[in-house]
Amino acid sequence: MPSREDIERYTQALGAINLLIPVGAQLAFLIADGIKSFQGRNEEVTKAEAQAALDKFAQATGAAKTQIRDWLATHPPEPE
Amino acid sequence: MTMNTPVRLTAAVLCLVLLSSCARISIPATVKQVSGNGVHIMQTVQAMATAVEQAEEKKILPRNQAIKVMVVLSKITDAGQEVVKYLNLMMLADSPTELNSSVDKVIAALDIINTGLFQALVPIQDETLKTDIGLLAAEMGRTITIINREILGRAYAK
Repeated sequence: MPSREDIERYTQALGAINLLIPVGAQLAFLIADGIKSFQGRNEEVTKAEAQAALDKFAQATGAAKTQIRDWLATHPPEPE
Repeated sequence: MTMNTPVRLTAAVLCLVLLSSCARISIPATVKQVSGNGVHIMQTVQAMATAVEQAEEKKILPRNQAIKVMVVLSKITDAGQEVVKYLNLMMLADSPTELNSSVDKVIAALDIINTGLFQALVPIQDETLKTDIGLLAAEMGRTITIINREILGRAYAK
């Protein structure tokens, strides 16, 4: 039978682990980001690059919206 | 393990969490990353829409169920347009208040996309078809939107 001290110790350890699990992902993200910034530390994203990426996103969104809208326009509901 | 180790470990992790929250990302870099991810999400939505069209054509998916799925996918594209709009505003923001407000709105639109990607599968009653049409695609899209939230969380002006 574990002693009172053992139980307290294990409870504290479980409490620490319970905190570690959700922040573990954030830590991994931080490390990955640190590695990336170390590898490309002289690279800065310009506004023009950001705008170009945003334009591509807008295009992709527009294409998806058009496809869906066109299908809905040509496929009316059927009587149940 | 000694009595102090869990406490020390917790304190160390908390310091790392604080450090990571201080690691800001530039607005153009944020916009570029989120936009790149956004393209993947919209490609996912288009793939799901195409699969719905084909399933309906082959009579595997009833018309009315297909319409319900397409309506949800359409709402996802609307949310995508909101993300584009507010990413643009983030780049034009003149003040921390404006920037943070735009970041909030991008995150809200991403939440709509996140929810929508699974809601789109709800009207489909056939389980095999549900898997074929996009369980994996929806999961991928959902992962990407979670990543976007993490990126945007570091774009707030302090």
